[in-house]
Amino acid sequence: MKGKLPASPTVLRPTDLVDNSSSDGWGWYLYGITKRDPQEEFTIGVAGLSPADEPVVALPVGELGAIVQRVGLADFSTEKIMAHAGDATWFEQLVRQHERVVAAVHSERAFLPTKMGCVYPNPEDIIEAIRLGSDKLVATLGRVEGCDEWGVKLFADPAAIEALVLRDVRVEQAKAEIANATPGRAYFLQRKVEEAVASATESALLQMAQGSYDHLLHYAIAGEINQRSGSTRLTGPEVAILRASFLVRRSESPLFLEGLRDYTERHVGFRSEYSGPWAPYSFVSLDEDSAR
Amino acid sequence: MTHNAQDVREVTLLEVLDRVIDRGVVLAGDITISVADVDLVYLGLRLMLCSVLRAEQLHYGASACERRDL
Repeated sequence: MKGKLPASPTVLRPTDLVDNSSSDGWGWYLYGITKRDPQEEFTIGVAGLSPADEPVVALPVGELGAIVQRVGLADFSTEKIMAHAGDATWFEQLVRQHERVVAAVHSERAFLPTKMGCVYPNPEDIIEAIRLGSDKLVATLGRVEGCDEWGVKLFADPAAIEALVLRDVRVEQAKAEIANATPGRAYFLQRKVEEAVASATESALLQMAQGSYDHLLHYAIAGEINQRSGSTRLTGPEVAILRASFLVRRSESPLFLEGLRDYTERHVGFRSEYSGPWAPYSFVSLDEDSAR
Repeated sequence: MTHNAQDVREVTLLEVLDRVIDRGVVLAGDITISVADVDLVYLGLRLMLCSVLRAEQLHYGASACERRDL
């Protein structure tokens, strides 16, 4: 769907809250939180979820702004959700509309996207929830300001992994043992070789994942490993090695992407995919311990 | 956008789902309208994610849904 300018005003005022709050059948969908100057009025030039004629607006909460939209509660009812449980088109539209608003706000300002599907009964509930976490929200916004998230996936040709495995000392030892064994003992030693190969494969995959992650982290201010390869069976045309997210200063994104390109070119049999720039979905935890 | 070598194409649904479903700020969840209803949103999305991942596993030969603990 193409974006459209919302109706003005785009910043709610106290009178708007009174007019719009908690009328029967309506709720408030929260897209995320941004910083705002109390005097600032800014526009969010994309349409949000259905109903599209309900504008996406900034709800002022002190120095923060909640990006919200009035939505029909019926659209988030158990009946409606279950009626669409197998309807990929309906869910895709929901997901893409949510992401479109998040991307639009993130492109303009520091933004903490909320988990998808947060609907509040009243604007006052959102204001209260934000006030409760205000200090952490401000600190987190400061941490991600001027940054984008990039998603990276690394894949390897099974032959490249096998080459590493065959050089593993455990596999070499097990193979040497089997070469000198009697036929009867060799049968039992075969199990040992298989275990050594599985163990060496696991080590090789971990080494590849950690090596590539550490390399890319040099270009980022934070990173998160979302998934390593969970199998030591080298099936299929390629093996997924790593899925990770990185928080990168916008000005350094070209360097980050160049670093990724260099890494895959220097490692034979590697292939990478990346996606971005995204809002910092993976780096908005309000838990200070998780701030990397 | 998702990039693969020189290929540039529209963001895949999988990439978007990967982010919007489980990540993002969670404020005081108990004042949302209904945790059950919100969970139902995720149930629906997870069903869809699983079907998308099943398509992906045809390429990679592994159970993507299992890997993501769905």
